[in-house]
Amino acid sequence: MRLFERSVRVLCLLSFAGDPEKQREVAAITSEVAREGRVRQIRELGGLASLALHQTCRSASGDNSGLARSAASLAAPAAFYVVASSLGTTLDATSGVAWFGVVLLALAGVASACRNRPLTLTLALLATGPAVASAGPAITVALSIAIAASVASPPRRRQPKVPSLARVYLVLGLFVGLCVLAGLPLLSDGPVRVATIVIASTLIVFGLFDPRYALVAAVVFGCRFATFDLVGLAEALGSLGRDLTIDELVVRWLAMTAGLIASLLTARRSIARSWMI
Amino acid sequence: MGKRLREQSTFILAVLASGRSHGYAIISSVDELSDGRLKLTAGTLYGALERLEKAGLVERAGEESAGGPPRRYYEITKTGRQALAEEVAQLNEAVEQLRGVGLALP
Repeated sequence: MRLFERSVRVLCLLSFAGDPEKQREVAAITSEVAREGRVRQIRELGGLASLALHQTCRSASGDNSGLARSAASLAAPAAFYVVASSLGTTLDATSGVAWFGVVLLALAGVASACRNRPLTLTLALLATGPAVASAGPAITVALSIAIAASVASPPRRRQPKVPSLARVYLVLGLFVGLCVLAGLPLLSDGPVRVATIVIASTLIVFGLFDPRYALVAAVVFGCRFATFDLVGLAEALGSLGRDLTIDELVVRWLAMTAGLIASLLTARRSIARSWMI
Repeated sequence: MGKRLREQSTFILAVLASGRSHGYAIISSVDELSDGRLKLTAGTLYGALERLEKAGLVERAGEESAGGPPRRYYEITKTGRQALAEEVAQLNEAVEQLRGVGLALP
């Protein structure tokens, strides 16, 4: 089977998880239309990807009623990661990433407990126990965010072959945890900033079709904003006024402001679109 | 007033207003009706059809197979015709308002 057909099948499966007939119908029409050529194939894949985002948003949050709670459960680990990696005095970026893994595991545990999944809960507790014991007060804050988000998150409908949020957190957390245990070099401060920008930009693009991702991007930018070095920024703005030298801090602050505005506007547009037929 | 219709939904309803149709034919008809301006992908079409079905503006109208794979047909409902008429009336009203402020519209 060619890559195009395989991609179509996966996207149809994500879009209509509980309706095999619909999956076949949409896949057949897509293949029929895509005979026009390569450009059309790319357009069709783009259309199916946006449909998959729409449908997963709808299945996770209902008809907008559970949107905020669903977005909160996605934004909690992102918020913790950004805050943890921004607290440069007590945490360097590496420990921020490691803690992110710990929190993902904890979140998986809480989500599993909420949904009565004893196996993933046990795994998560075993993996997080020693780390939580030595982590200090920040982890308590992070866990509070995670627990609040998990409790607030709406119960997911069972869908075959679509991974549950708890499983996603668990796999991500185990990956980061194993990297730490194996002593593999994790992200340093520079790549963390680049990763934040790349991930947040991707979230904004996804947010065009699923408002939850735009809201997560807004949280990421908002947390960066909240933990920004304001004293340093004031000094940088002062030197900009004195001798017109543009400090890196000013550029970062402007980029964050632009990112925050873009993500909020995208979320607003996406939510407005989801109210139209 | 109910939910507003997106542009592609209006065109899909307009195509179905002239008779029941299946996915591939709807894509071709919308392309023709909009003079090639609106090129629906299968993803956009089925997303729109699902929203229209949920809102009760469109319903399934059987399956047929003429040599190839079976095709599912869709048809507009009475509510769908009303929604289309309302949407067209609103668009006309907007055009009249713009003419009223002196814009030279065709």
